[in-house]
Amino acid sequence: MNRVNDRTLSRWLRYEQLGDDVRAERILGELMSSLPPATVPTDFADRVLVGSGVVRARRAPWFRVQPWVWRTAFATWMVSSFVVVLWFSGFLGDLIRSGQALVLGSRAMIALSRFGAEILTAMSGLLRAGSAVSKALSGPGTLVLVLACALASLLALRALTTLVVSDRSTHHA
Amino acid sequence: MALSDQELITAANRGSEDAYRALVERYQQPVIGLLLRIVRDRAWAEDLAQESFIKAFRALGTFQIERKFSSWLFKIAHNTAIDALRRKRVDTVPLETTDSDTPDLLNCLPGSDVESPETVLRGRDLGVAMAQAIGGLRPEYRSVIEFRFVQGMAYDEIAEIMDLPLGTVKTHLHRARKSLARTLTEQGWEPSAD
Repeated sequence: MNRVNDRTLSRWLRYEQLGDDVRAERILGELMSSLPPATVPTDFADRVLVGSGVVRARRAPWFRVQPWVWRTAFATWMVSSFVVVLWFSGFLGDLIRSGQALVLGSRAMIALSRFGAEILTAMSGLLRAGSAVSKALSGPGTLVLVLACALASLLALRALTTLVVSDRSTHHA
Repeated sequence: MALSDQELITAANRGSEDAYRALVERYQQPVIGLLLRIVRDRAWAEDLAQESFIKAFRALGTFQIERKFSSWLFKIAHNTAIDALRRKRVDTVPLETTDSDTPDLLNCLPGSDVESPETVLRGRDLGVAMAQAIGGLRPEYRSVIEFRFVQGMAYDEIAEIMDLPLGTVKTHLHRARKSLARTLTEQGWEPSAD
C-alpha cells in the first residue's frame, strides 16, 4: 500500500458517499487489485499431488532401493560374516590344511547317497507289491472269490447259531 | 505456449502428473487467497485449499470439459470453506485484529527503500485497516468481495459459484461495499474533497 493507494481509497470513499455505484465499484476494484496477493508455500503443489494420490510421497534414497537388493546384500553379509568368523577362529584354516574337509565331505556324500539308494529300493519294493495287489483285485476271478468267501462266512455263521440254539433247548429239557 | 485448462484436464485424466501439477500451480494462489479471505487463518486456509484441490482431482473424471474449470474449482473451494466455518462456528473475527492476523498483507507491503517512513507506516495502517474491515464482514460478503474485486469475476459467474440468485449477489456486493466504506470511515479514513 502506498500513497497512490491511499488516494485511491479516498476517491473510492468519495464515490461511495456520492452514491455513484459504477465509479465506486471500479475504484474499489483498483484498490483491491493493488493489495498484495496471498503467498503460497513452496511445497504446496507437492502436498496436493501426494494427498490426492497422483504421486507417491518422496522417500529417502535408501527406501527407493529395490527389495531384492536388500535381500542380496543381507545374504552376502551373513555368508561373509560366517566365513570371516570361521577364518579367524582358525577352524577353517585347520580344516583346509589337514585336508580333512575334503575327506569328511566325500564320506558324508557317500553315506548320504547310500541312504538315499536304500530308501529308493524300499520304495520300489512297496510299489511293486502294491501293483501286484491291485492287479489281483482288478481281475474277474477276484469278485467270484470274494463272493464265495462271503457266502461261506454266512453259512458258517448260520450253522454256528443253529448249533448254539439246539444245545440250549436240550439243556432246558 | 501454456496449455489451456481443458488440455491440462484431458492430460490429467490420462494420468499426466505434469498436468495435475500445472493445474495446481495455476490456481493455488487465487484459491488460497479466497480461502484466506473467508477463514482468516493462514494454516487453515492452506489445509482447506489442499482439501479443495484433492476433491477436485478426485472428481476430475466427471468434470464436463465444456464448463469453466476455474469456476468449478472456486465453487468447490468456497463450499469447503463454508462447511468448515459451519463446523467450527467461526464466522467473523473481532475488529481488534493484530498485525499477526494479516500476514499476507503486511509481509508484502512496499519496502522502505522506495517510500518514506511516514508513507510506509501509513500504508501499513491502510493495509491493516482494509484487512480488518473485510475481515469484519459476513463470510458471504467476504466471498463476493474476493470474487468480484480480486478475481474480477462477472456477477453471473459469482452467482453460479455461490449458488445464489443474481439479485442476491448484487445485493451482497452492494451491502459489502457500504459496510466496508462505513467501517473505514469510522476508523478515520476520509473521502477526498475533489
